[in-house]
Amino acid sequence: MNDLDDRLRSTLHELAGTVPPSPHARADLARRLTRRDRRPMLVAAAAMLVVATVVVSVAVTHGDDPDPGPTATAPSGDHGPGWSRMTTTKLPNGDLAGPIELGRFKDHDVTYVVMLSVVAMSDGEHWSLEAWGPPDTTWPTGYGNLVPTWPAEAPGSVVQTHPVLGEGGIDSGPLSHLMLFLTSPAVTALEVRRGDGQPVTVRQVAKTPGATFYLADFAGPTAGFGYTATDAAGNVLESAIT
Amino acid sequence: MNTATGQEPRVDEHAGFDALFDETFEPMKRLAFLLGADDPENIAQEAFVRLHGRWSALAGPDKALPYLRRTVVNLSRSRLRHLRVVRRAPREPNRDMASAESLALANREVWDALAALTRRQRQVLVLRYWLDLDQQAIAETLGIAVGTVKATTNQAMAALRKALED
Repeated sequence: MNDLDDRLRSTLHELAGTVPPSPHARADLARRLTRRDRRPMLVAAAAMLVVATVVVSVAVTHGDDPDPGPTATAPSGDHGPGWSRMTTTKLPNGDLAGPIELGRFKDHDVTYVVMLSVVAMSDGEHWSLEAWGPPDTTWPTGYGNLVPTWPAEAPGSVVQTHPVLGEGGIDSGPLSHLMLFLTSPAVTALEVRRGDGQPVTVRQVAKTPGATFYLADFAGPTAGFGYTATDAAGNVLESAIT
Repeated sequence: MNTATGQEPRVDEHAGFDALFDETFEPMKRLAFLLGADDPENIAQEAFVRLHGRWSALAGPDKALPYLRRTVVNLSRSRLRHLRVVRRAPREPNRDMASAESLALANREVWDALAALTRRQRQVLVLRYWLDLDQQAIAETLGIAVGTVKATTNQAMAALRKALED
């Protein structure tokens, strides 16, 4: 054991010791788990609303070329016992969104589907990105958070960016070419550019009362990307180069 | 050996999750902190929420702690990235620096040098010298090859030694 090893170990242990304990950690976890458990119920309730809407629509039109309306489709490809849950449902009212497929990837011959979900809870809207695989497989990374309370005016940001499972930093992860953008409802258009200034394909994947969700496909590296968010009047609300 | 985190605890099918939480929540929070996360408690909580959701799907009890470590590392990276991108949002106080002020002078020099390393170098050193993980466990936690762990460790120690000599 040399001196540097000892100093490094001593420093890390001393610094770790400065972090205060969390006396309510278990209660906080229980609250989070309760909140998480409610989420599928809310999504299921929204899905039931979709079914009810379809039934009413068919009943009213009596089969006369009805609008297809909300759809529910299972992704193609590898199917297994766990894939039945991977049903993409379009919700008619926009209050909640998802699960919406953003992309898929393979890891050790197992296909994972990345899903975006947005649900309304008592403390606000929650969104999450998760990679779903067969029941006996897990993908450890994902992301979820409250939809932010957007600032009414500068200098607060009206755009948030998140890699799609690329939690190892820029251009990492299994879908490193994708990036999710959340914008405030005031934003009506979003332009995204690559580091070399070339435009990036952007599509709106969800819109809720709290935010609009855009998926940007860089088809390559995302490093140095930029974006411009504008409102309905064409005013630039935010422009940035990262 | 950091007994709270370096050894694999016995994980019972029913009580194992609670025991693991009691034993490793604080170390996981500190791990996130040492990796530079601005909200280590939130990250540790989120890691346990995800573990809870996958508890029954994990192939065996020895998988829970590695999963937890990997999730904390990934979430810590995600938070750092988020803070870098959202430039116009008000900056949160740098808790690294606030805590570093209370360190003994010699340790503060080491911490300053550690903070100047690349993210990967810092991760490798924290996992090795704080969690006492071996190279194989570090490789699995970071999702990189053992050879990369060795090379990164050597580079990090060389950079650290040079910084402390200057």
